[in-house]
Amino acid sequence: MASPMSDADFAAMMRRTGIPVTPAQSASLHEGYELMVALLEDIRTPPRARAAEPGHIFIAGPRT
Amino acid sequence: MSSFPTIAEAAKLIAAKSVSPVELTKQCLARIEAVDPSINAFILVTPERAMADAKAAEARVMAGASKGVLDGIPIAHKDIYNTAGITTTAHSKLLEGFVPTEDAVAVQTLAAAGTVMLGKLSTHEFAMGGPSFDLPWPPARNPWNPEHQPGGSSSGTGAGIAAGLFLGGTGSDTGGSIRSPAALNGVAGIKPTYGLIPRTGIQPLSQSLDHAGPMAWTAEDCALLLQAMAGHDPNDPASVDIAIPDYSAGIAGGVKGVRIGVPHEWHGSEAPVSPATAKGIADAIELYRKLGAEIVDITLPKLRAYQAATFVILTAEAYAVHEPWLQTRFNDYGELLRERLALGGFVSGPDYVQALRRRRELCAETAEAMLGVDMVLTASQPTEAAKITGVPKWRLFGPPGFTNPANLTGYPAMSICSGYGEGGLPVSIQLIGKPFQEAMVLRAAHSYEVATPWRQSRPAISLGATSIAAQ
Repeated sequence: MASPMSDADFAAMMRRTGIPVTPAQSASLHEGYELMVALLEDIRTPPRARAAEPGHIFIAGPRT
Repeated sequence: MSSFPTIAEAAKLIAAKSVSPVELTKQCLARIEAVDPSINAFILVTPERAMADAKAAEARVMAGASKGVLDGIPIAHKDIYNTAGITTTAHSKLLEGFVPTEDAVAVQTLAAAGTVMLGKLSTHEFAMGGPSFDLPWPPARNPWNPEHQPGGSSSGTGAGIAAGLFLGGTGSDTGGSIRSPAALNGVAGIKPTYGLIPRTGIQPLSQSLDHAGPMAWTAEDCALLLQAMAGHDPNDPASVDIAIPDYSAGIAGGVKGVRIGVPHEWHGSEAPVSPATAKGIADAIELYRKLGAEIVDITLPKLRAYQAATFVILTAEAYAVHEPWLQTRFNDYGELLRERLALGGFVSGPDYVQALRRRRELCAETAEAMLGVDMVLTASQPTEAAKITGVPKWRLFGPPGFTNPANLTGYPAMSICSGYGEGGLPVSIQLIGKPFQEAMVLRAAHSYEVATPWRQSRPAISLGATSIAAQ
């Protein structure tokens, strides 16, 4: 389990979204983010092989 | 006629000219006036449009030119379905006053089948945000007890059908938004296979998970609505071009020989359910066995795995839809939605791709686990409806739900009422079929409904209102 993100690091990540938030909103989103981290860990593990197929591939040409 | 006719019953009476679409519509409008102030199923009632539709249907029926079983049937649309000339708000200040110039394709096809449109229905904001009290319209409430929530996001559709305000309606389902309100209001709702119903003209949430679908009092009625809604639309890149079967033709065919898999771990150790929900599942298993189905224990991937992949994909895609407004009009959203949406800004590109890879793996594992069965039986919702003020902002991170797997895999899934639990609130079961096997799911649901008494009860709040039978 990853360590909780610091307030400063979270504020920096929040700024990158371009969403203007109040300190109270930022604190609430930080709480939500920490809960979300566990779900992100779940889809990262176990790690896939480097050459594993992606979920979607691009197919050129018109729809049939 | 029953006080609360189903679509199938009303259609027979209309065809026999013993019930008038105009009178049926007037009675629905009267019941809406009497009951809806208590449950807020509607954002907008459109009586002039409804009466015009009803008069046109009646003229066709009297002239022997009926469009079919849905001609003259009063329905309503979730307010994320675009309706030409009629506001479509998504229950959000962001779209307050938005008047589309075209109907959503599903609205078009239902209108072409002769349905009468009564109005636009409450939804969780943009199909994700509620129940919220800081929006221009109040949230829908559960007609079985208005102190409780009606589920969502298709909240008004579920509440209004249970209350008998209309006979059927439209919903959408990205993580469970048809099956949750179907379950908590004790009605039927089917999320069909991904791509079966066009989403063109429906406000998007997460395009790779969004499904449109019908809700009604019975599975039989859902089959009738699905028939009109299913079909190919070249403007929806997910839309499939297949022959649409007759969903009603074999609906009374029973379940003899059908193999029903039960993933006991799901509703046992992984996401424990309420006693009434557990009893509903156990009783359904026993009933299906008596009706000739073969019950098979199966093991599916963990609910938590579906939840994680669904969450990452949904929030990333929803963020992509809403990013410009989040950056410029953040506080015009309700608190619940804006904060749930904003989390999508923290999903990295690699995480989104990994979630898509996990989705592919889970689809393969689900298909393999279901090789020996025709469908899966489990819970739809874990418990009876919570108090409307008791839904946490971060409920997405709570115990994994039973509805996500069918969104992630695209499999058809249906929620039907399996009894009444604490406080008389409905409980439910869910049937998950294989891709494009909606007819089998509907048949199994119908077999259950006609063999159980649950379709005989209605919320007390409606019983004192204008009785359609008494008119």
